[in-house]
Amino acid sequence: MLTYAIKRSLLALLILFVVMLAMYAMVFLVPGDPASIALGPRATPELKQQLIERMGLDQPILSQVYHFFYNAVTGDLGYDVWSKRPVLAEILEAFPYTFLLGVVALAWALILGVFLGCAAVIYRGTPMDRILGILSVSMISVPSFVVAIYALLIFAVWLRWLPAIGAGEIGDPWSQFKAIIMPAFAVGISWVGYLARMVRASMLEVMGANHIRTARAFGLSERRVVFKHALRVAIIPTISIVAVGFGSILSSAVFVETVFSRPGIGTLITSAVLKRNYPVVMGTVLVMTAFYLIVVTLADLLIARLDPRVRDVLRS
Amino acid sequence: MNTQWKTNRRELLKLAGGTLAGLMTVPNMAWSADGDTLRLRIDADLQVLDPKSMIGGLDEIILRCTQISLIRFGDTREGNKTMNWGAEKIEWTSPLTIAFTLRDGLKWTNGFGPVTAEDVKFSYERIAGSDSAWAYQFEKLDHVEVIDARSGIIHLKQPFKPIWVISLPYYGGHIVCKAAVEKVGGSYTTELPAQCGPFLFDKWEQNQKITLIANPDWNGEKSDFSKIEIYIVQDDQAAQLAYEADAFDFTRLAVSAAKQVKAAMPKGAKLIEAQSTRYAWLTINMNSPQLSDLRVRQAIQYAYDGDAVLQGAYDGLTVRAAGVVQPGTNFAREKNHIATRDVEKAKALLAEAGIKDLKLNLVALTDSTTQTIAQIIQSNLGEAGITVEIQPTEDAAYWALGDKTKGDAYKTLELVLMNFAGGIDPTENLLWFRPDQIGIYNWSFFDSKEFEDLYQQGLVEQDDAKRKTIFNRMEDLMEDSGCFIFICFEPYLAIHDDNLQPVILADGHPNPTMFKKV
Repeated sequence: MLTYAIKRSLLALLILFVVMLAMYAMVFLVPGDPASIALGPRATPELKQQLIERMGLDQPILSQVYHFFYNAVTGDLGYDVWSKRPVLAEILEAFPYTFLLGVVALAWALILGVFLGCAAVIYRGTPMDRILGILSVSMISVPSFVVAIYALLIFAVWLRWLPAIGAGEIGDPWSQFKAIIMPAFAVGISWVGYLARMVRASMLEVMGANHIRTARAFGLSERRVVFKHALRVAIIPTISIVAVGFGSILSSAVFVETVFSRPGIGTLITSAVLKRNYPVVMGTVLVMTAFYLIVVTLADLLIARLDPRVRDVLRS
Repeated sequence: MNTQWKTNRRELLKLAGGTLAGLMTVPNMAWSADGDTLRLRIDADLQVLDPKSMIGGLDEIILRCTQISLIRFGDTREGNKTMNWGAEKIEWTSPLTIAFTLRDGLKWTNGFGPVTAEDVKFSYERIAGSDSAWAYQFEKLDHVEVIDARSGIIHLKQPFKPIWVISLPYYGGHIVCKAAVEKVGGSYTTELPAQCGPFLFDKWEQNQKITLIANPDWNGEKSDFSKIEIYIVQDDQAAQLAYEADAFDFTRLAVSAAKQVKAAMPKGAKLIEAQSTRYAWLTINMNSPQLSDLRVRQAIQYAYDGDAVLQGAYDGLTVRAAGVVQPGTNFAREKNHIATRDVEKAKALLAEAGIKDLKLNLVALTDSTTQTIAQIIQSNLGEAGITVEIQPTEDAAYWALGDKTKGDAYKTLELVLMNFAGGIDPTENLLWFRPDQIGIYNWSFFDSKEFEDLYQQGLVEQDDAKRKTIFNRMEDLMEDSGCFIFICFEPYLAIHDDNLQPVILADGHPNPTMFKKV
């Protein structure tokens, strides 16, 4: 188990390194002049050169990569080209918003997705199962930004129940709660459908197992069999999906944070890309990739711990 | 009948839930706006609040509130009139000198004392001749002479009338506190070391909101609002929806939203349709081998259908420009030499030049308006026998195209759709077409000594009638070179609550301190 954990961690580090190399390559390959974009047409050539030097773009790529990783190891992700604030501080300010959005979105998606998946098993083969199937696929198919715009139209513009933009007032939990409802709904909705299908498929496999047959033989109701005995086993594959899903949810957050003008990593990276604020782009990608890899690695380790089949493979 | 009142936990929760849900369905109950707070929307967060290094946009809006300038502009729709602001008295005393006296009682925050003439001197002289993007505003500044604590004289190297509208009212013209700036090392970014305007910077929620509150020490004209909230919403459509959801009181809209908004105007809202200072034109690069013959360039000018572009891309909200000087001002040229479309003439010119199967590349930014213009031009030129291939280009790549420091590609550009945010003085808009701008922002290789000489004359000429002649001649030269098709000055579109009277400055940004309740 320990060897497995070490291997997974080393793989995560390798992935992180490759991602950052790819990011640097993109900065050099993508045509364009970050200084002109950032400074506008009235900037003098001297000012543009200063900006390029400040971003370190005048250095050879390998030197940039070396310095970036060397500094990153010590927790220094550089400085925002404009505000001159430490990039890490900016990320740490924005991250809780995105993290909260991801957690709330995934939580409601998980609860509803598992419930719908179980319901589909209980009513398998009936018209209800087919309705739930159609509903799940529909939810998977609709892009989060479309859901975001319609939610905005209905709940903010027409009904005026929820705020259209922002993350609520600092120190006012009620306004923060109201501000997260629509973004979390938009981000999580496709995962409801995905998880429902996943749980249904996994559950149907489990329903044929011996312990389920025994439970039925004891005369337990179908609901009790499904929720109490089958779900416990069927939920395991969902853990790894949820971990992967968290990464996907973070990328959906980029669109949703833009539509709802909600602060967070999505808004930070979008505005940094638009302004060609490369230290912020690099720092954000590094932190988010690292976070995603940690979640996925932890999920793998958790599965290895929970699933006896994986445990046995690792032991052998 | 059972009249006993039974209450239990479940019933109480039901009742509370029902009441809350009911209350929230009442419009404005769930999200009430404070009548004393002005809520504006802008599309990007602040970057640098030091006037020397700021970029513009929100930075400039904040400085209009927290700092003062000697004079300030009124609404652009009312002709960009200037009025005294930080200065109690300010006047030209000769073509080379402007005398000013600061208003009494202007006071810096953080204990830095009164605003002085020394602060004015410091603010201007630190930008003049520096690497600041606003250094051009003080190009003709010699020095500022301090007479006493509140009075001084601005000395110019040469007569430079435009300083009044280019430099003094905003951007580089904001006054900073010498002692405070020196204390923080000579420059700053997002934390204002000292403020003296009618509002104070209160809170910055990054990428979300800026809050400004009334300055208790401000002794000038009071604002109708005690608090200003500036919301950052990048996307125009999201901002439009958010406005309809009463998230703010004022927002600029995308030009493409005009039809839709007019068809379904939100209740209690008013639409602003005005002409912005942003001018759009088609660059025709005379250095390109395919376009080196004047007759070919003129053929393009004749084939261009100005009306189709104005209707198709701008919904008829603006008129054809006859140059880069703002229409409706004293200096604007009356009409283009090639003002009406003539496809047959275009074909004849191509035939005369011996050109057949001409294929040209048209570079255009990816926004919907520019792409629409590109498609119309493609169709227009197609009728004259010119095949146009549109090359949609993203912002960063686009600005590198004409840059001589990025290789030789700038020499072979063919057609490029361009637009720049303009200024009030014609020299601010004509600047980019000077010979020294080739390989920088003059992408057409328009290289006219007469144009340059006229530009220099225009800078120092004091007589408005003579300046008009100069600028009109410069635009004649531009058009006659075949290097330009003047498209329009883009429309400005914004929406606001009808109980509000906004003030928009020439740069298209609001001045929140001048907004009024009506």
